[in-house]
Amino acid sequence: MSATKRVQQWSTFSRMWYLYDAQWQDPFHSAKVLSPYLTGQNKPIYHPLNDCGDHVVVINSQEIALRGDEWKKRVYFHHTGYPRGASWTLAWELHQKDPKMIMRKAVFKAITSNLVRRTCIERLHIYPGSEIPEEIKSNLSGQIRPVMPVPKRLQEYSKEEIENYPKVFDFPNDYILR
Amino acid sequence: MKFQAKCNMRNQTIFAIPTRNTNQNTQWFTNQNTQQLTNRNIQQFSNVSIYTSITAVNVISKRNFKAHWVAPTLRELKRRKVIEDDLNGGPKIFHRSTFLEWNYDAEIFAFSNRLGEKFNDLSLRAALTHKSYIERETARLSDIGVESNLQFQDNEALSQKGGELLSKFTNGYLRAVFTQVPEELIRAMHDFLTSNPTLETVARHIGLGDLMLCADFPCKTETYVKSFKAIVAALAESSGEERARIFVQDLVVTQLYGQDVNELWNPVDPVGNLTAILKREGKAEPEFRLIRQAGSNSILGVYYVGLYSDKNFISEGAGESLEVAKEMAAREALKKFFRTEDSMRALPFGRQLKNIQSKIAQLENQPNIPLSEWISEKVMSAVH
Repeated sequence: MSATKRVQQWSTFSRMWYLYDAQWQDPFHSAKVLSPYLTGQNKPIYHPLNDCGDHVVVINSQEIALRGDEWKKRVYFHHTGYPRGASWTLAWELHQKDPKMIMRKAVFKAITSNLVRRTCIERLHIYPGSEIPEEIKSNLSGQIRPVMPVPKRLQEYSKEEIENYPKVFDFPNDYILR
Repeated sequence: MKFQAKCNMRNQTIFAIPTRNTNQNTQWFTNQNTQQLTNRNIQQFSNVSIYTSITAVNVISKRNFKAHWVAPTLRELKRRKVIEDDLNGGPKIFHRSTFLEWNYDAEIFAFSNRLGEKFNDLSLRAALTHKSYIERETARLSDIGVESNLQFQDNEALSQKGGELLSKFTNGYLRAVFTQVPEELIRAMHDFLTSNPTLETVARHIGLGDLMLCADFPCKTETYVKSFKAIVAALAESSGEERARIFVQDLVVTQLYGQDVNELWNPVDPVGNLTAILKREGKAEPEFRLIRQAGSNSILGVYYVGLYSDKNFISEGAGESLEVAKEMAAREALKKFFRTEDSMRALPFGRQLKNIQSKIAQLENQPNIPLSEWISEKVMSAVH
């Protein structure tokens, strides 16, 4: 193989490292978006046996947002295999025990059930906060857009922005609000 | 009475042969025993005319039911033959001339027509005759005791001349098509095209294997190459240098098609050479910048390095480490200067060369600029 072809081969089959901020994101919708990256289905060289999946680093998994009353109603079942080994854990309980589990389970389910799934999920790195170890941080090469737009909180607006914000009506200065 | 009945079993056809007493002595014959009807058998029924009453003959094909032992036997024989051949160093091969219907004159005629060229008969025959063949024949005849007045001419001189012509024509083409390329790469491409393996491939595919008169069989590489070079010289003698040039372009230079020319040659120190070229052209020093990277900590890390000169982007290179990526970027830059990138224009052949044949002839003796003096102002603009 010539030098050019060798380098071309290497760069074609290289793995990307994506960052995904799960702040206030629906984990199940996010999982649907992240699973193609993990399996490599976003690439033209994809083949089920090609093992061309990328790495995805999820941060702020502590801050995920479930819809409606899913925190209270969604239940995770587990059986140890032994008698009386069944357990039903509510989403909020599971999240307290391990804030990475809900995200991980959601992505695991989103990936098609096959023998490569275990390999793909190994390439998913979840962190509850926004701190990432240096080794992982230096690998990052791209970012995936969040699924839901993150609203800007009132505290994040600067004083100038608030003052200059277009208003239809405002109370007079000497008006006393009850 | 004549009729044919098709038996349900085994697709056999039963013929009824008419006899004089049709009611009593109807002879029933199946396919199998009609084959045994020899002349002697038929005479038994000589009072019977077999052929007169038949107005139509149906030919019915028989299905091939060979006995159960036939296939296994053939398989075993083949297996043993393969083992024998392996022990003997390969299956026995025979020269085409040992088979029936070998007419050397017809073959020579067909050869020249196949190529679409006109050869002098004597030149062509001389080109295909080897010294080893002449020596073998004279030795053989003298063993028998016959005076050898063989008027064979060997292809030594022709092959020498042909080699020079081949070299000249390939150089001319390469310099006319690769105008921006330094002389070192031209030489590498020329060496590849005139190398023994390449010429042997060409010689084999135009059928010289059957036509050559040589003592060694199967013929050696050198024999093929010598014959081919002699053919080129014979063509130049017969139809002129112009036709020989086109012949070499069509058969030899086309071997370059699909070959990455940068595999044949690239400078040892691309960064150094690139710096020197930019300096000679009066441009700023090359600056390497990391464009993108992925997985730096992992074993599958990849880096993309861009090459800039005075903040102008020249080329980009990828690699598994920064050093490799930097070298590849420099190599890509040189390829860009020499116009030998992967996306370069396809090589022109045939009718596309009609207008530049004179230019090719002119450049046969005019080497390109060497790498140590290469500068883009000096090279001519591309011809095609």
